[in-house]
Amino acid sequence: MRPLLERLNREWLFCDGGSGSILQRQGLAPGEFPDTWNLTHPDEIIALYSGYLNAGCDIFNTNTFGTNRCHFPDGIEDIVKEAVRLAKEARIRTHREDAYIALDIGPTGRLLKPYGDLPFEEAVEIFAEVVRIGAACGADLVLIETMNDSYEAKAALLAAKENCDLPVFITTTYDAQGRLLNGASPESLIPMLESLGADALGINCSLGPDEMAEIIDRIRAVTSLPLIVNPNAGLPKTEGGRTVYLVKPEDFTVSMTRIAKAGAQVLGGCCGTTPEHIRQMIHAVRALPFHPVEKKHDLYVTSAQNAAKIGGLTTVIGERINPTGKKRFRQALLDGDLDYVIRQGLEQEDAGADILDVNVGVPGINEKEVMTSVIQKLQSVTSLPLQIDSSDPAVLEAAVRMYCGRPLINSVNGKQESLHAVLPIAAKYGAAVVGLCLDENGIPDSADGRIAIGRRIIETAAQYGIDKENIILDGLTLTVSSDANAARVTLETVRRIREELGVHAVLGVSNVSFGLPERKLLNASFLAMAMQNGLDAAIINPNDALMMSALRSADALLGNDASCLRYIDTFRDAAPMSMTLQAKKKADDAPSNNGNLYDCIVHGQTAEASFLTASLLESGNDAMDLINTQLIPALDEVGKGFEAKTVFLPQLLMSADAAKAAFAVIKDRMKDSGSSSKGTILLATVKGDIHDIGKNIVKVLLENYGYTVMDLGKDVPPETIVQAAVDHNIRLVGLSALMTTTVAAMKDTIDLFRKVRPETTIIVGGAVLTQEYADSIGADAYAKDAMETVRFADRFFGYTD
Amino acid sequence: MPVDCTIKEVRRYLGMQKAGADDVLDAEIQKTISFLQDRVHPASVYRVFPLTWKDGMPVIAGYLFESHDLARCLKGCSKAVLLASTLGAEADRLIRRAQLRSMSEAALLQAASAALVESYTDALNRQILDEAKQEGLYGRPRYSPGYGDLDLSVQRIVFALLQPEKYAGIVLNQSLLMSPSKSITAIIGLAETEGSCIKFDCETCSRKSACTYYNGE
Repeated sequence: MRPLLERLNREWLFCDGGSGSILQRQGLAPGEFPDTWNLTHPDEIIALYSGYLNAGCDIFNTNTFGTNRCHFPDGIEDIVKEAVRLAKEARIRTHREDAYIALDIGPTGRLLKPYGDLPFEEAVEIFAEVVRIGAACGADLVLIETMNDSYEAKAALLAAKENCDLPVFITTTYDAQGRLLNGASPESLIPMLESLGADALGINCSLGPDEMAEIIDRIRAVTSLPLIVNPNAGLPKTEGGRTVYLVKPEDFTVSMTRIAKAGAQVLGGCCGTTPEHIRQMIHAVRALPFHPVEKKHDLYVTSAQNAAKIGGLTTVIGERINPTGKKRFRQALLDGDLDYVIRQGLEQEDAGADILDVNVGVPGINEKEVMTSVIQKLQSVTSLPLQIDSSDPAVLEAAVRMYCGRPLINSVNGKQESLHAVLPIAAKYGAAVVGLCLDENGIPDSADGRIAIGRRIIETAAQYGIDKENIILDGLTLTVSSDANAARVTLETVRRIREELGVHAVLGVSNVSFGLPERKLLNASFLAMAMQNGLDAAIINPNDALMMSALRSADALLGNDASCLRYIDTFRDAAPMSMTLQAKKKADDAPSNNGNLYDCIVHGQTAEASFLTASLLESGNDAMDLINTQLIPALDEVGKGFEAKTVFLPQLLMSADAAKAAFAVIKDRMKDSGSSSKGTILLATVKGDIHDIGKNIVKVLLENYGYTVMDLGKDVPPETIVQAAVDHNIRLVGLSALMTTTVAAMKDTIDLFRKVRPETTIIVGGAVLTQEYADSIGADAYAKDAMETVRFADRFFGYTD
Repeated sequence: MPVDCTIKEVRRYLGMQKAGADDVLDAEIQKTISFLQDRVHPASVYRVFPLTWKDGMPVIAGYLFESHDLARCLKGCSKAVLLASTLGAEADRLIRRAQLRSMSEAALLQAASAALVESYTDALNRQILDEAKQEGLYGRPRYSPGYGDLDLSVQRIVFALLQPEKYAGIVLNQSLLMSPSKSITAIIGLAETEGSCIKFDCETCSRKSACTYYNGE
């Protein structure tokens, strides 16, 4: 048998077709896993394989689509072994020893965290088990297919790469709009699969060949790998309660011929296709001239859903998720207040960032843990791709491993130690990488010196198999006030990175203006000049309007912005800048506002509450006075209204939002004086439960009422909750559960508390809970809503009137 | 199938059945509904299965469903439709995102999403009944796992039979909760005769006194 990789991309290769409907005709019951038939119906499985081998396919799948621990908790070894043994037997019987046995791997049927309850590493291990068994008993390649969640696809691909040396093919399932179920697009997904080391990739299932055409074009536009196309025999129809596929072999062949001509290298079928579909298709396509896939050179940094293309419009890399020089941010990291960190990301997204830099390095925290938590949280609320920023290679590796998409690493530099620590990580996980033009001797004064280092980074990366289009070099911005030539050298370096080295260029911009007045002005001008010299990406604060204006303007002037569309889009509705500045001045000069903060809170006017609090503080009002005479009484009025059922949940929460905004202003101003807390309460949604909006409502209210809330999040195991209570000496714990099935986990948690830390008081809440239910699981108290929890906390900590 | 719902439905999910008129809030609710309509991608799958009986309990596609309440609902039926529907993952993402900045916005999104998936499923239900009628079959009200004495564990059977992971992007976690969270599974009986069964609604629910969403007086 010729090695598969010698034939791939040099000649047509053909996969097999559907199996489910064929086995159902032979008696497979609805809901039954076909995989067990390897053990119970070996003849039928050999017949299935033989049908496709006789039809002429080169690659045929083992009957192991659902074979994994999730579906077969008692073990999978026998099923996989038999699947491969029967495949070998079929190959002999049909005299098709040239055909490749593909170890077929389908989805687990579970959803990965943070959306679901399957941890990423557990998913990797589930797939790894199948791969190890399949490879050991003689499969010729691994075919991961029908993946409809790009995160799970990553887990499977990683498992295959880490556990065998076989070629790995992967196909995913798109909906009619060209998205996976987790929102991944061809542009966001393909660069990830490609950079993780797949040998061929493509599309299967869900759609017929004609419905796939547009998606195939999009995949082809971004991939340098051979393209696999395995469609269904049309869209599924329901006939008499059964799912049927109606595209006939002849019509299927016409469509597949069209796809082959447009450019695909591996062709086969999926649901509803039969050996006859495959036979006719092979006959027609084999007669066509074969065209290998073309190499592409674009660099995409991607998230699960989005792709940021480097080049063209200047990429904005938001720099705000970084503790350097930010007291409030550092404190948030130390306190574990990750929501604050995440909000910095959302703010930058609104301001126009394309990528978010993520740096959480402060002494006194477990950087690896915090980094991966922040990435997970960010990826669950924003679709912006991330730039992983750490000086610790172990942190970088943990982060890029669990990241969903294709990340950018910030950074490697010309030091030997850095090159050989960071580049292998970038290579293995397919991350693009920022390279700093400095080395053991520091930052060269000249562009010549920086270019030499840049060249060394590119060459070393090549040794690790990293193409130079995946490298973005940073020419390094130094301070112009301490060296008059600093900016010129940087600009020259940027120009030569593009022209001589032929790679992308990035800069952090704001260093240039250290020690000078009106820094924003210098930064914006410098950015425009760097763009003129070819800068592709800028690491900046996107909340800085002047900087963003300079960037959008320069993009328009340099012709990066086709038809100035982005410029127009940004400024269409903008007030003339001169007026904006005047208006701001007026606001600054305005006399202190004596408006009614109390009313703002009661009526839930968030923006007004925030503005009013700031101006009241500025005009000399005492913060504690504002809290005691305005905020607390206003919250109390609304809270009492809620209890009396004259105020309802939305209004209660609007007031809570407004109060929270006011408290945030106060907290910012008082950051040095420290704030007093009425007590600390630990909150968690129990293990197995992924609904946490109720718990989060309780949290916001408790915080507004002056409590410190330690929020462990959702799906939290009993051990974690109890350990946190022990570690932080927590007296009051609030547990939330939504369903009867998860109330069991609540009881487990309470039981563990009673054993380990009986003095803890536990209050419970959640949709299905009642006082009786709470009593029966041994809780100390039950709260039917968030206000009741606040009232209980007040009594518990002795704050009742 | 377009997805829509009424402001009144959203108010019910906000626990505001008895609240007075509030034009400002209603406008916010309408805005939230429209916002979601522009962004969500609902999906569904359903199939008709044979229904037999064993010791007075329904057996759907060979799987026993031990529930007196479901049995009453399926009485006289010879087939059963299983359905799974969802508003999709984007709704969850939007709710999660809103929680970081505004809990009131999150609560509105949460309630509107719940109302939208319910009405989307109502429309799907009507379509299923229309199709059944063409084959001379009459539908019964739909009944969901977790209602009455129909244990939530039957979700595993529903998922094995329908494969909503594949066809609608709904997965079941170890605690039998569905993701995306705005998802519905249900059983609809089909009979050869017109008729009704005891409809499962708020009035017949044993938990109505403790329920925030109870829509009776």
